[in-house]
Amino acid sequence: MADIEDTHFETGDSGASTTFPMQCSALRKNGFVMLKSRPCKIVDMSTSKTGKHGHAKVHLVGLDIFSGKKYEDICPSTHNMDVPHVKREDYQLTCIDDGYLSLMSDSGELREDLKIPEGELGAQLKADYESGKELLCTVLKSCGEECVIAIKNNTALDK
Amino acid sequence: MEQQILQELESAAKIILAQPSVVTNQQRTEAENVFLNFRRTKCPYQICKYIFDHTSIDYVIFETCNTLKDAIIREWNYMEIDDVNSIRDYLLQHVLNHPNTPVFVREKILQVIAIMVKRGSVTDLGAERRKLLGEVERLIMSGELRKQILGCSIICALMQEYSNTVKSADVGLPWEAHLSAKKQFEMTDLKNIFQLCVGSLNEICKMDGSFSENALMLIKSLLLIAESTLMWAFISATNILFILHARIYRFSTHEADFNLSLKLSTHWKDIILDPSFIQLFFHLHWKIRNSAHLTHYTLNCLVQLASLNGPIVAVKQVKIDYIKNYMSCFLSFLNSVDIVDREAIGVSNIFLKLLLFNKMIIMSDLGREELVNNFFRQMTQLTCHFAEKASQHDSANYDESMFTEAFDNMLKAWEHLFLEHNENLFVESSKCIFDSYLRWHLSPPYGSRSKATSEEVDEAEEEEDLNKFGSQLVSIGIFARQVLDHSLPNLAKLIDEKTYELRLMWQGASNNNIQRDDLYEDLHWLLMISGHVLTNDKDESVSSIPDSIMKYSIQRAPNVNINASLTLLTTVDRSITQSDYAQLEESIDHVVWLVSAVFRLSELEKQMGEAKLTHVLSPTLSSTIAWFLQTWASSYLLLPEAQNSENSFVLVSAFGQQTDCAKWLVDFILNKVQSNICLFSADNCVTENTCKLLLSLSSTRNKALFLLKNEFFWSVINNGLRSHSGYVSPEIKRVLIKSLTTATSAYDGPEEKRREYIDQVLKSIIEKFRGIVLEENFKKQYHDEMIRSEIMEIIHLFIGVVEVAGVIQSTATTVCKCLAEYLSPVLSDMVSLISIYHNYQQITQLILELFKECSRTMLCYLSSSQNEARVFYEICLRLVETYVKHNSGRLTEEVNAEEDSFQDMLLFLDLLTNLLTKDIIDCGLAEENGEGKPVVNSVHVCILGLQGILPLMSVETLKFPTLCFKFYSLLSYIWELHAEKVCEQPHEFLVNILAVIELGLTLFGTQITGICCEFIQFFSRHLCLHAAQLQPEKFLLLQPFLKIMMTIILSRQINSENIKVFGLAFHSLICCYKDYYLRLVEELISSQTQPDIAQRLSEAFTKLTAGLHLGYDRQEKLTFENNFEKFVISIQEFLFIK
Repeated sequence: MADIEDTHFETGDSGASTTFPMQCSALRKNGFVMLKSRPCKIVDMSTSKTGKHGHAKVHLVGLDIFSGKKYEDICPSTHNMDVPHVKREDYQLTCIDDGYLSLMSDSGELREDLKIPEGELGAQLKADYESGKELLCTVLKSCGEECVIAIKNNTALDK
Repeated sequence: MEQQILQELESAAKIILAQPSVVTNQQRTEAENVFLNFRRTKCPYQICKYIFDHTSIDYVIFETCNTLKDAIIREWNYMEIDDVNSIRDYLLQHVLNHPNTPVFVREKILQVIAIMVKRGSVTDLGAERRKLLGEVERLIMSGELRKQILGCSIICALMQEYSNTVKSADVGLPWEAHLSAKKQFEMTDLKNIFQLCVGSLNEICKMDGSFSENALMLIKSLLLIAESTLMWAFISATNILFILHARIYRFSTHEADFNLSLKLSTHWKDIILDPSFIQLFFHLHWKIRNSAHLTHYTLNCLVQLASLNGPIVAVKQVKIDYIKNYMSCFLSFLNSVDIVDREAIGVSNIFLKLLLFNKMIIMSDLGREELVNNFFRQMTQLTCHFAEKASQHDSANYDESMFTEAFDNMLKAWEHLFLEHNENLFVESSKCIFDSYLRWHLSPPYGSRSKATSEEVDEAEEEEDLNKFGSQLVSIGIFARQVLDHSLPNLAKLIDEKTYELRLMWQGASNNNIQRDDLYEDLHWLLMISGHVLTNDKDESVSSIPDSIMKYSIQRAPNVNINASLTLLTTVDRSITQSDYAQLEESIDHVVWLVSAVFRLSELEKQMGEAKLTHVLSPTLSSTIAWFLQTWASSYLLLPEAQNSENSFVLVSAFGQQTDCAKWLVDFILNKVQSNICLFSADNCVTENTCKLLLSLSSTRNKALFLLKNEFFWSVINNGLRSHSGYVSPEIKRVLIKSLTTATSAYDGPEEKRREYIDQVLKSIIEKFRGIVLEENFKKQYHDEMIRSEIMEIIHLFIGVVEVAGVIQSTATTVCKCLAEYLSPVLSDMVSLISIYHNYQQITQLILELFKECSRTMLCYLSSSQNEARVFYEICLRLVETYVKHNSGRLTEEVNAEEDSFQDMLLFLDLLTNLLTKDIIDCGLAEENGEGKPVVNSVHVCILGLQGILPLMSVETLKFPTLCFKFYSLLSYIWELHAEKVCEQPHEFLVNILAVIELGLTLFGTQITGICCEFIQFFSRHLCLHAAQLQPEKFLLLQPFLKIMMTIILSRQINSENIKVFGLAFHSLICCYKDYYLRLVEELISSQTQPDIAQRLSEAFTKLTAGLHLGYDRQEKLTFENNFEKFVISIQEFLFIK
C-alpha cells in the first residue's frame, strides 16, 4: 500500500510538466490543485475519517481559476495530488488590434497572442485604452492556458 | 365601515391560511400587509370589539388581539381608566363565554389582559390585579376543570408579564418602571398565588389511587406556576447591580442567568419551612413519576428547593431542620424506587445543589449520623449507576444520554466536596467511582463499552475527546488520587497488557479491524485517564506534581527497589507481561511503572511506524500519546529538586535534572517527536500535539538550558528544517524554529552566549533568504514554483521566530532588541518582495502576517526614543504604500478575489491596531529624540496607514462581519484616544471617514451601529471641547450627523440595546451644534400637518432637554441619557401609526 502511495503517475501529454505532485495533507486553502484535470484554487478544505481511529481523508472544494466553475474531490490525506504551476505576470498594454492585445513584458518582449477578455473586464479595458490611459494587464497562465485576469492603471511608469 | 374592515380582514385571513398552491406570493404579501396596516390603527377599540362579536375566524381574533395589544402599549397614557377597565372585562368575559377558543387565541387574549393589568399597576398599586386574582381564585376553587385551567393560564400570563426583563422596550415602559412594578408584584401577590397553588396541589394529592387524565392536566398547570415561582428572579440589591451592569455592558439579562438558586426573604417562612411542604413535593413526584411529561416540573421544583438560601434560613438551626427534613424525604424516595432516565438529571442536580448550598451543614453540623452516611452511600451508588447506564448508550449519541449529563452533575457535586475535605473520608466511594468509569470506557471483558462504529466522522464537527470529556477527566483524576494504591498499578497493568496485545497483533499480522480499533480506543482512554491522574493542572502555565502523588511515592519508598524502578523506566523495547505484575506491584514505584508503561507503548508505535505500518496505526491514539508525553513532561521531566517541599527520592532519581536518566528521557522524547513528524505528517491531530510537546519542552528555563546543550536537540531541529517541504510542512518547520527560539529566550546564561544561540538560529535562514533574493537572475526567476515555495517557507520561519519573541517575560526586552537588529533589514527586503510578488496572494499574505506578528510581539519591547521602533514604523509605512500602489484602482476577475482582499485587509487592520496599542504602552513617553526632532510615533503611522487602505475598503468587503467589526472598532479606538491628531489630517480623509460612519449607523447591524455612535460621541466631544482652536471647516464636520441621527430616531426604532449609546452621541452632537439643533427641531415641528402630533412632538422635545443648559458635563450627560430613553418611548406612542 505504501509503495503505491509513493508512486506518482504523470498524466500530462506534453513533456514539460505543467503540474507537480504534493501530499494531499500539505495542500492549503487559497493554494492550487488539479481537480477533474482543471487547475483550481482551493476555497474550502475539510477532513473526515472512517471511524474514530481511521486515517484522515481530505475533502477539497476548488474553483477553476479560468472559468470560476466549482469542482470537488476527496482524497486520503497521505496520497499525492497534482498541483498546477500558476503564473501571473504583468504586461503593459501597447495597443489593441482586431480584438487582440499587444502586450509588453517588463523585459521588453512583445506578444500579441491574447484576446481582449470577455465581460466587464474586457469592456473596462477597452474603455480605458480608448480614453488614453496607460494600462497594466495581469496575465494568468496555467496548464497551457493563458488570459488577462486583471487590469490596473499604470501609475508607476517611471519605476 | 367596521363591517368593511372585518370583511377585508377575513378575506386576508383566508389567503394566509390557504394552501401554498392556491394563492400566489403576491396575494400572500398583500394579505400580510392588510394585517400589518391594521396593527397601526389609531384607537382601534371599537373596531376590535365589533370584530370580536362578529367573526368566527380564530386567526382574525388573534390578529385583532395583536392590534389591541400594540394600541394599548402605544396609547396607554392617553386612555381613560374606565375604557381600560371595560376593555379588560370584555376580554375576560369573552374568554369565559367561549370555552372552545383554541389555545393560541386564548393565550393571546390573556396576554393582552396581563399587559393592561401590569401597566395599570404602575399607578393603581395593584388594586385591579388583586381584583383579577380574586376572580382567578374563584375559578380555581370552582372544581370545574375548564375554569381551573383558565385560572392557571391567567396567572401564568400575569407572571410572564412581570418577569420579563429583556423586552421592556416592547411594553412601552421605561425599564425602571418595569422593575418597580415587578418588585411590587413579588412583594404582594406572588406569595398568595403560590399559596393558592400549593393548597390546590395538596388537595389533589390527597386523592387515592392514580390520577385521572383531568387531574393530571390540572396538576400540570399548577406545577407550571409552582415552577415559575420557585425559579423567580427576585429583585434584590445584588441582582439589581447585575442587571445594571448587563445594561451598561450590553450582555444578555435573561432570567435564567441569575435564578441559579432559590433565595427567599423571611416573608415566605410559613409556607416553605413547613415540613409537610417538602413532603408534598416528594410525594407528588412519587405519584406522577410515570407520567413522562410531568416529572420535569416536580423535579425542577425539588432542585430549586434543595438550593434554598437567603434570609429565610439565616438562623442556623432553621436551616439544619430544613435540610434534615429535605434529606430524609429525598433518601426515603431514593430507597423506594429505581431512578429512570428522565429522572437522572433532576436527581443528580438535587445532590449537586444540596452540596453547593449546604456543604458545611451536611459535613459537620449533622454529624456522621446515619442520615449522612446514607446520603453518601446513595450518592456513590447513583454515581456508579449513572456511569453504568451511560456506558450502555451508544457512544455516538453521547449528547442524548441523560445518564451522562447526570453523571457529570454527580462529578461536580463530588468535586465540590473534595475541594476542602481531603481527608480519606471517601476512599471506598472513590474506588467504586473510578472503577465504574474505567469499565464505562474500556471494552469487554474488563469493561462494558459498546463496539466501535466505523461510520464516517466529520473532523470539523467531531470534538476531540480531551476537550469533550475534559472536566470529567479532571474529576476522575481527583477520585484516582484518593486511591493511588489502587488506581496507579491498575492503570499501569492495563496499559502494559494492552500494549502487549498490540505487539502480538502486529507480530501475528492480524487483520481484524474491529478488534484493533477496540484496542486503540482502550489505550486512548487509559492514556487520557492516566494523564489526568498524574497531573492536576487545569491551568497549563503552572505545572507541578500533585502533592498526593509525591506523598504516596514517599510513603511507599521503603518497599521500593530504586534500581529496579530505574531499569524498568528505560526498558522500553520489550513487553511486560502478566507474570511480571506481582513483582512490579510490590517493588517498583507505581508512578515510574505507569510512566514506563506509556513509554513502552510509545516505543512500540514508533517501531511499527518505522516498519511502514503507519496505515494500520491510529492517528487518534498517536495524538493521545503525544498529549500524554507533553502533559507528563511539563510536570515531571527534569524535575527541579526544590520544587516540592517534600520530594520523593525515587521520583527525583527517575525524572530529576541531575540524574543519569535525564538525558535518556529527553532523547527519548525528541526521538518520538522526530519520528512523529516524519511518520504522521499527513495527520494534523498528531502533528499538532507533537508540536505542543516540542514547544512545552523548550519553554521552561531548566529544560531550555538542558536542550540547548544537547546536540541531539539541534540535530532534530536542523534535520527537520532541511527536509523537503513535501515531507515536513512549512507549518511544522515554523514550530521547529519556534521551539528553538523559545529555548534561546528561556536561556538565562551570559548575554553573549544567548546572542550566539540567536545567531545560530537566524543566520542560516537569513543567508538562505539573501542567497535567493540577491541572486543575479532573481528578477527573471521569481515566478519559478521552486523559488516561490522556498521564499514562502523562509517567511514561515521568520514568522515562527517572531511569534515567540518576548514569550519569556524575563528576557523579552533583550531578546526582542536582538531579534529586531537581525530582522530590520529582512523586513525592509520584504517590502520589496511584496512589490515583486504582488500577484501572488499567498506570499503577500505571509508577508503581512509577518508584519502583524512583529507588531504584536516585538514592537512593545522596542524603544521609542531610540531608532528601533522608528525603523519599524518607516518600514510599515512603505509596506502600506507599496501594497496600495499595486492594488488601488485594480479591476480583477480572479476567482475569490473578494475574499482574498478581505483577508489582506484583516491583516492590515490587525497591524494598525497593534501599532496603536504600542502608543498606549509607551504612555506618550519620549515624544522627542535626542536631537530635538519629533519622533514618528505609532499613532501617526496608524493614521497614515488607515489613509492608505481606506480607498481599498469597499462596502462589499465590509460585509464580512469580522472585518467590519475590526474596522469600526479601530476607528472608534483612534478617535477616542487621538482625536486631536486626527483633526490635523486632510479634510478629504475626514470626510471619507465620516461617510463610512454614516453607512455604519444603519447598514451593518446593531453592534456596528453602537460602535459608530461611540465614534460620533468621541469626535463631537473633541470638537465641542476644542471649538475655539479649530478651523470652522473642521468644527462643522459632524453637523450633518445631527440631522442624520434625528431622522434615524424619528423614523425607525432604535434597537433597545443601542438606546444608551445613541443618546450619548446625540447629546454630544447637540452640545456641539446647539443652535442648529434648535432650528432642526423647529423645522420638524412646523412641518407636521397634524396639529396634535406637532403638539406632542414639541412637548417631547421640550422634555428631552428640560432643565439642561446643553453643555458638556457629566451630570448633564446622565440626565440626558434618562430623558432620552423616555423620549424614544414617548415618540413611539404617536409617531408610528397611520
